[in-house]
Amino acid sequence: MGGYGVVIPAFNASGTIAETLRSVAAQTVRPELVVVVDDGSTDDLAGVIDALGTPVRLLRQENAGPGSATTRGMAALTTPFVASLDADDLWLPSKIERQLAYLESSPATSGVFCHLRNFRNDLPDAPEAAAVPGWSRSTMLIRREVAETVGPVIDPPGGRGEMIDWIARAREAGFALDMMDEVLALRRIRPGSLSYGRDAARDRGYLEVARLAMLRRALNKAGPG
Amino acid sequence: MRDSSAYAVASRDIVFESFDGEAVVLNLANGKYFGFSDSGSRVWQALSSGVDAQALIGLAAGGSTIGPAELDDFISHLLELGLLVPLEAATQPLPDELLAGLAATSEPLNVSVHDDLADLIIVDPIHEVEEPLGWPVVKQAS
Repeated sequence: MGGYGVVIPAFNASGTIAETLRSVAAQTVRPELVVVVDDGSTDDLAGVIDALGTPVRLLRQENAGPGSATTRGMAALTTPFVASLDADDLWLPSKIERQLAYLESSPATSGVFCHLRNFRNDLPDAPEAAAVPGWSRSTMLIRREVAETVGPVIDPPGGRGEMIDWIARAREAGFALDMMDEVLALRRIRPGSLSYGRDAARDRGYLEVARLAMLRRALNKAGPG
Repeated sequence: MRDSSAYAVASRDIVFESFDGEAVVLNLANGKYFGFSDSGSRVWQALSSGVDAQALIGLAAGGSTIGPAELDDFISHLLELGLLVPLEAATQPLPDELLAGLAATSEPLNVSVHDDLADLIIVDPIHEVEEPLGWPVVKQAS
């Protein structure tokens, strides 16, 4: 079974990163490398990670967005498989094992995602809560060539939708991305987190993603040159 | 078409933005998004901001002038797509910049529908946590 690395972009995530990293350390198949990319945090992320004592490579950059930080982390990995995870979400222990097995048995599949279940920051996980297909950073396990071919994860203005854009580009490049029915990841919901609630500035990110998809379509229609 | 016809964006699930005059509309509820021809973008901007549709008839656009039947077809399509609803209210005047923008367009009125991102957008958990106090409904074991 091929080895995998993990990319975790983190911005002021000192309150959640320990739990997130523990869920990685608890995987039944251990990662070869865990890269946390500190996206210009102003909190004590490094201190929290140090105190944990789990092996982590910590990279730092000026604040540029979660997509940029994800790209930076992916570039630091040389493993055949690449997984990514938000700094406040959690994996269930068999997440990677199940997904690696899926990819091993499906050579034509380039990347696999899974269902996820939301949990609230201030409440225990509720296994009976509804699960949704998670086309997101925290559910993704890809073959490394996908990252190399698709290129950077681009942050739209407003900060939301960068994975939608990247996954759409991967599909357009012809990579088969599958969705597993199993719930293998948990998504933290809390007021103030990037994905909580709705506001106009963040919706603009989605609109930018849609605009870019239409631009690519128009370019493809026009043909090369 | 009615004598006075104003419209409003159909719901708060319909979000839109103009990128250098090019309108993009997204329905957050079903993940479909919508692109427009250049003249369609300007007319969407006008209608979504409450400009009376009647005020658009006869204006220079798309290398010609906007005809009543063409505009009616376009608006009917936007209503069918669930992007606009009729509005019984005072209309807004057409801004000068939109008038000039319309005159500079070269394509006929058109809107295109895309659903290739729908599965990616509609499952985003943000759409399930609309009300902080209403989510999640967790039944605590008693």
